[in-house]
Amino acid sequence: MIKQSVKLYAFFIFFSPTFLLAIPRYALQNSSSCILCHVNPSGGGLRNDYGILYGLDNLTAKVPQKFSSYSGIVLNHIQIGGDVRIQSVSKNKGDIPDGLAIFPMQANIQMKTNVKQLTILADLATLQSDFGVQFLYNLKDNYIRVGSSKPSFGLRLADHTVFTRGGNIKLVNGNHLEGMPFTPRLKNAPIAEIGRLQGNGHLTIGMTKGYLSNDSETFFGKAEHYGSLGIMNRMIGISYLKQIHSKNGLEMINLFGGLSSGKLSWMGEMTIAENLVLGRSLATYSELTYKMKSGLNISGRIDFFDENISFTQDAIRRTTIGLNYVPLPFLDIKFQIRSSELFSDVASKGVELLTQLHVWF
Amino acid sequence: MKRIVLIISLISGFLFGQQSELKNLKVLPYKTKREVVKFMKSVVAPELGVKCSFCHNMTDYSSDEKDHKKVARQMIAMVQQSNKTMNDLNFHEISCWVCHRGNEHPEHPPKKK
Repeated sequence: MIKQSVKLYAFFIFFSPTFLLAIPRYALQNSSSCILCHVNPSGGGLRNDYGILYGLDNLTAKVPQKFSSYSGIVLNHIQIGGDVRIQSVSKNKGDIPDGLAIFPMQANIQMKTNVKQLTILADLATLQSDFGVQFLYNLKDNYIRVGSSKPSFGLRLADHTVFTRGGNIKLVNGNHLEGMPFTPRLKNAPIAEIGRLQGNGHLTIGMTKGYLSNDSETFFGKAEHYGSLGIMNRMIGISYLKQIHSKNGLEMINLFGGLSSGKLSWMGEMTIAENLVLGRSLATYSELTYKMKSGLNISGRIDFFDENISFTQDAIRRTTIGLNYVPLPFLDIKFQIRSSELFSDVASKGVELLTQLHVWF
Repeated sequence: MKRIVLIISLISGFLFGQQSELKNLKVLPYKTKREVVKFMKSVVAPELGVKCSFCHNMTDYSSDEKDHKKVARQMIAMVQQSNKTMNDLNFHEISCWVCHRGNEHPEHPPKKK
């Protein structure tokens, strides 16, 4: 069984080609918006020159000489990149092993080129058979983004199982939903967005069609601010999303923030949604991370979801302890142990052991 | 098919990935982006207490759209020129810190005559 699992894991690592999300902790630690490292101003996906160098110089335990000049440029004006994430989940009910699941989470390839002030960014999500192209027009501190992509909302954490993102796809508490609607199954949708970077602030508003449900038009907006308070970096932001022209359309508001000082970082967010299922839903996330040494981080996280705040039985609280190891450039390994507390009469999900392998270039 | 596309992209990215050319670099003596970023992160940003966006268009770092970048270039040229004199006099080199002390603008400008 173990041998088979290892073989299967190895197979996915090498032959399975995902959805792109940023790691906002790095933005917090740099006291800057995601655009510092990513081509897409909303974060995630293809890294810019700074992002690649930051990955080499700040995130890894060791940088082999042959990677030190990596740029992703292949034909003078074209940059190629990619993200592959594979996850395994092993469950235990008490002391009894209760199955192992290995699945690819993300397998995306991105390509970028610039024509004067216009940036063209293509993104192929092979697992979702989804192709998106964005045209980004830059003018000083302002930009216009049109094409096929995803709107910016909240922290856009790299883990879609967090309740403020997509939560549990396989329901465990007998709810209609166990997490906000940002699951990895969501595809790119037609989008038009304008943004402004002003000092340490970043403001963006836009419209998208058919993103969260077919034919729905969604308005979204996000404002974030980064700064330093003495030796401490901070970020604070708010996001809003509303389906318009539809009765009982989804409406969501999100508050997020973080503090970072030296080796310690805290990030958190809270999302309140109206008409996600029925009534008002709530999801929260809070994570504390300690950098033990370059390439090695330990973290503790609590996330919570309540499908309808009028009732208590549909709530879930999950506690996670994790280790993040970046042994080499372009390779990120995460280990997590987590336990869910269900407020319903459903039997506890037990302890889960998760491993995630992230390869990017 | 998807996997083939991914594998080809992965391999081509690593094998044929080129050293990207430095664009619009006029006064700094560096040959690679890594050297430029290291200089900016370790010298310019902390000594002026600013983030990259103070001088750069974040969607195109090489652009000269922002006036702060043009001023910064002149300032760097001034420091380089000063350091030639300092070297001739056998003095220590100077950097932005000598005047800026972690501020966007030096706190105590010389008195007007």
